[in-house]
This record gives sequence, structure tokens and C-alpha cells, in this order.
Amino acid sequence: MNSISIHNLTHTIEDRTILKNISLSIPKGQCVMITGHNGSGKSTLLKLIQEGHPDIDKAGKSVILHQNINDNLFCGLTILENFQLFCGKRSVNKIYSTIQQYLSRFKSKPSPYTTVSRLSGGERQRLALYMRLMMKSDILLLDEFTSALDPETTLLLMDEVIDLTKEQNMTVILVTHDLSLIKSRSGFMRVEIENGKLFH
Amino acid sequence: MILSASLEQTLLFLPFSLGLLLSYRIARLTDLTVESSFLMGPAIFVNLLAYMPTWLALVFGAMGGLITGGFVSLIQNHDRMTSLMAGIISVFMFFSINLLIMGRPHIPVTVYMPVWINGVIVSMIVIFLYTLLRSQVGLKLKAFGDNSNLFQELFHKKEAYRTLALCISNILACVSGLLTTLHQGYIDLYMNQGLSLLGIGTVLVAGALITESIVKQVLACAFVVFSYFFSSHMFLMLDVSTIYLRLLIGVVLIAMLRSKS
Ligand SMILES: Nc1ncnc2c1ncn2[C@@H]1O[C@H](COP(=O)(O)OP(=O)(O)O)[C@@H](O)[C@H]1O
Ligand SMILES: [Mg+2]
Repeated sequence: MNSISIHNLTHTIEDRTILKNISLSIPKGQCVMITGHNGSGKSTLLKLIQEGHPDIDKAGKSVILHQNINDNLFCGLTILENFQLFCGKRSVNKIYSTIQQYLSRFKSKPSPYTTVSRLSGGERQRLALYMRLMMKSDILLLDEFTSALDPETTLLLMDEVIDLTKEQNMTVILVTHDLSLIKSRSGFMRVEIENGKLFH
Repeated sequence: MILSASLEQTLLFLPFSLGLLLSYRIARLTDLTVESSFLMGPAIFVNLLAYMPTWLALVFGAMGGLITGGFVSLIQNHDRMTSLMAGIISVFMFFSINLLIMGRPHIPVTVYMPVWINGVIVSMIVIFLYTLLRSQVGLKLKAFGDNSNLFQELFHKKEAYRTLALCISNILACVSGLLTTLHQGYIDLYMNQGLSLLGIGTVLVAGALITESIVKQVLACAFVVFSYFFSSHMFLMLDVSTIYLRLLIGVVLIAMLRSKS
């Protein structure tokens, strides 16, 4: 069964065609890596998948990690408040130990009552990723999420993402420029977008 | 004497200031419409007074905030215009509508309300806000104010929360207008002039004094509103001409705020 099917998707903004005739089928549990130059339309494609479009069939719920770090968290709120918002009705007591366990992986060991804006860009992005992983969705969309991370953390988080998504049979679409990621991973489906066109 | 007069004025104005704490500071919406609500509440009240018990007319007057808050939220939905633009346009329009409801620019109102009832009403509002801000809805209002796009992505309820914030703040503005009207014994078409700026000012100063928990800012607001009225009375007692009053308060504020940071 396909997790995402895109049929002949064309998207224009103000008379400019950003995406042209894109077709793509992604089986459930598959990891897809999208590459391409700046401005080729990668972020636009991810946003359309997240927000929904008549030419895109999506099985299940998706969550997205945006390219701009500060779009991914409520930066003026505390870490705990962010988890509360992202984890919905689950009570704080139930998730508190999970939060503590996530935070213990940070070198700076932030407290749950730290305001997010006090964290570094990379720390914010890592936290934002953990929140998406806790949401237990079917599809995970990651838009250049490693750009603010050091190489060590990048590889670490990539492993965490792959382990967790395998465990939950999650579909992952990963937009990246990171050559180390592109080279080191097998089992990824690779596609490239150039000038709004998709190449397999 | 000065103390009791200032306390009384604080009770009249505090609901207005707390409404702005919710809309301006927490939901980050610049809503000037509260100024219109301050007049619309009493205008509805005097029209209904002849047909129903006073308390019911007061309730309907307060509900006027649903009209102003609902309208200003509706015209900015889907981000078609900024909250500031929506506020300016609606203040403009509600001037005519308020005059239409009032029928004439000045109406005497002779309904007596003991001060302790004001105290009870304002205490109830403070307790309500305190509870609201500590609830899940309060957390979501904060989240809406912090990043409305992410809020929409997570909850798909941006419009609902904007409307909620604006309706509450405008109802509180109506309450302030009603209490003020009963206290002074008349409604005047111009009695709301400049109030939204004064209200936003109190919220900003309260925020500058206390940056920690939003809940504590409820108390900070009360303190700032009281200080404003108290210092006004003090300056008047010291024979400072009313011409210089606001100038002086401004200078004191600048000195205070700059010395803090
Ligand atoms: N909101 C927008 N309004 C106008 N043009 C946009 C908008 N968003 C993206 N674009 C244009 O679409 C193209 C693709 O953008 P994007 O998908 O962000 O590229 P990528 O993520 O591949 O770097 C760019 O040329 C950009 O200028
Ligand atoms: Mg991009």
C-alpha cells in the first residue's frame, strides 16, 4: 500500500510555475531522500504534502519539520509547555519521564522549565524533532533539518530517526544537502528536483 | 481620601486593562476596538434599562463585547488584514454605530451601584483570568500569540482562538465602560477617547516590571493601573496643573523604565 501518491502535481504561485507535473509513489515505511538546488521547489513540495492538495493522496497523518528552525517550536514558551501542546491530551505526568529522558541526551542538560528561546539553534531543532517523533504520526517530513546541527549530532539524530521510524513503520521524506547523509545511508529511495521537475 | 479615590478608579479601569493583557500581551493582537466596546456596553445598557431588571441590562451590555470582538475578528480572518488595521477600521465604524445606539451624544444615567459590588465583579474577573491562564485553553492562547502559523498547523483552530481572545477582551472593556458609567452617572460619546492607548500602556509597563510568569502580570496590571490613578491624584494635590499632568507622568515613566534595563 502506498503511503503517499502524487499524481501530475503542478503548482503555481503568482503566475510562476514552482512545481511541474510531479508524480511520485512512496510505499509505507519507505525513506525518501530529496536533493536539489536552492529554489528548486523542495520546501514547496513538502508544504503541499503537509497541508494537503487534490493531486496528493496521503494515507494517515503527517508531521513536518520546517527548514526555518523557529517555525518548529513555540520559542517564547517553556520546553514543558511545548511538549504539552505537541502531545495533546496526554497528561504531563505521563510524558514527564519521557521528556526527562529526551533532555538528558542534551550536553547542556536543560530543565523542562527552560524557555525554548534560551536554547541554541541546533538544540531547538533536536527538541523539535523529538516532539515530532512523540506525536506518533504515519509520515514524517524533514526539510533540511540537519543544517544547524554539528556533524556528530547529525549522524546521531539520523540514527535515532531511522530506528524510531522503522519501529513505527513510518514513512520519511528527507530534504537534504548534506553529502555525508546522502553517501552513508543505504535503503533510501533517492529523487532529485530541478527547476520544479522531479528526476528519479 | 486620595487612596480610596484611586482604588475606586482602579476598580473601574482594571477590567479594561486585563482585557488588553489577554489580547495584546498573550494573544499578541493589537486590538483598538476595546475603546468602542467601552462605550457600546453602556449604550446597550441604557437602551434596555426600561424593559428589564438592571442586572439583566448589565449582562446584555457586557455581551456587547461579542459584537465588537466578533466583528473585528471576522474581518481579519485568514490573515486578510493585520489586527491593527482591523482595529482602526472598526473603531472608525463603531463610532457611528455607538451614536446610533445612543441616539444623542450625552445621556444621564441614574442607577446606583455600591462600590463593594464593583469590588466583587472585579475580583471575579481576576479569578476568572487567573483560572483561564492556568488552563489548557490559556496555554493554547499563549501558543497562538507566540506562533500563530505553528498553532494553526497543530490545532487548525487559529480563527477560533483569535475570536475567543478578542471577545473576552471586548467583554471586559464593556464591563469597564458599564462600571464607569454607573459611577459617573452619564454616558458621553467621547468618554472612551484615548483609552486603548492608556490600556496598552498599563499592560506594557506591567510587562516591563514583571517579566516572569504571565499570571503574575495580572497583579502587576492592577498595581500599574492603581499607580497611574494614584500619581494623577498626587500631582493634582501638589497643585500641578492638569495641563502638565500627562507630561509629568510620561517623564516619570521614561525615567523608571530606562533605569530598570
Ligand atoms: N510564498 C511564496 N511566494 C512566492 N514565491 C515563492 C513562495 N514560496 C516559494 N516561492 C518560490 O518558489 C521557488 C521554490 O522555493 P522552495 O520550495 O522554498 O525551494 P527549495 O526549498 O528547493 O530551496 C523559489 O523560487 C521561491 O522563490
Ligand atoms: Mg527549502
